[in-house]
Amino acid sequence: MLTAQSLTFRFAEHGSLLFENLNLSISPGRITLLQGESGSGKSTLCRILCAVIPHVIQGIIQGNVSLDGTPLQDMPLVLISQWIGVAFQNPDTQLFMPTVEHEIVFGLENQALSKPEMTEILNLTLRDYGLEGIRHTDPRQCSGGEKQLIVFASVAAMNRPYLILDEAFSQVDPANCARIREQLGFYKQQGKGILVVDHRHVFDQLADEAYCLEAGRLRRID
Amino acid sequence: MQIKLDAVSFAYPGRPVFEDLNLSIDCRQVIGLTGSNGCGKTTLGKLIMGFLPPSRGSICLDQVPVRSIPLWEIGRRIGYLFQNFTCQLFSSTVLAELLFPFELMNRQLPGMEEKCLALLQSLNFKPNANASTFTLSMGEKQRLVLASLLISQPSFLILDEPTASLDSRSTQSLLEILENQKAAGVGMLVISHDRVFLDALCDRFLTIETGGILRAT
Repeated sequence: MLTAQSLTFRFAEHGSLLFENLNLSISPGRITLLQGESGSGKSTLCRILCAVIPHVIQGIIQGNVSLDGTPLQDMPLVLISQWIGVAFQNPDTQLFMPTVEHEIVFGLENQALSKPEMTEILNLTLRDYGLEGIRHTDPRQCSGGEKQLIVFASVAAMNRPYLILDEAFSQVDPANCARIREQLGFYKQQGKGILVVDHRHVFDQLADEAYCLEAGRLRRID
Repeated sequence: MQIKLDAVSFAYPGRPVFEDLNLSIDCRQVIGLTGSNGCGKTTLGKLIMGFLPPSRGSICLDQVPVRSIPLWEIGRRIGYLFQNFTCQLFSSTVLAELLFPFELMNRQLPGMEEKCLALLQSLNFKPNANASTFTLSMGEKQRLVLASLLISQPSFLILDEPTASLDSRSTQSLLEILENQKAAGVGMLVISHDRVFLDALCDRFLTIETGGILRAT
């Protein structure tokens, strides 16, 4: 389980508190939905839950964020990334490779999979996300919605036990949102723990629990 | 102002987008543009702005080919909110960001700071005017970029997925801001998948279908 316990956070020593005494658990086989106004700290919370804060971005964290009981601060980022897949709000920050195909394969190569394994996962991923038609296209030439699909497909292909999706589908059209809903339902059945930040209420029906982040506190939405 | 696309074709390498596209926009209209991912909505906006050159055909603003108008002049007349609006922030503070276009034009207008502050207030922008742009949330950054477009008082806006980063309250607030702009005679091309938002704001609807065919809906 990915857990934040009594989490208090501020960006700088004398800065204002962004959260105070916040508790949240992302459980295997469950989808947790996170909502909240712009600036409420949803992205910051996502970055703490995948340890980008404080490993990459500095901040002052009190409380405990742990993965199956092990504090994230004691784990190297490379190990955390083997457990948690993250799709950020801005897909341009996660696209590196010259083609869609290479982008999906990049993560698989880093897992040292065999070529037949990579080929199978690549073809399934391209099919599941409807990306066959642009498999040889440069992601930088793709539309915003396509970029978000490519990033999520690349993250999903790595088959991590936990997924953190920070408004990762904000530019995706309704038909592809339906495709993603189907995939998220499948990943949930596989036992993945999934956190979805979404303003568009596109994934409400999938959620096992939903929270709103407001004034530094999490309020459960019934 | 009128925007006219005449028999425009455009392709990215190995990926055709438009073939003989014709479109006429009266810049007092508010137009909603929809279509599936990758159909060319953003590309159409970039063609109008002159960011991308068509391979064939012509694009004119008031009968003057866009290619012969300097980009700064197009930018003065048409405010463009990019899908990835973070690439539109240049300055370190909120206020500096709003003053940036005037610095570029070397214009020191009296009361400009007060005007910027009033605009921020009218947009319900909560962070302090001296706040760092780096610490803003995505929604706040988007609102700041919108403010930096409106401060120059363009006569037309092209807004690419303006609600994508916004919560429902911010979306409602944006709708009110744009309705005020519309009432003031500012036309818009609003690219979005949010049909509820478009229905509330727009007078005319266009959809780009497979093969780059533009259809009135």
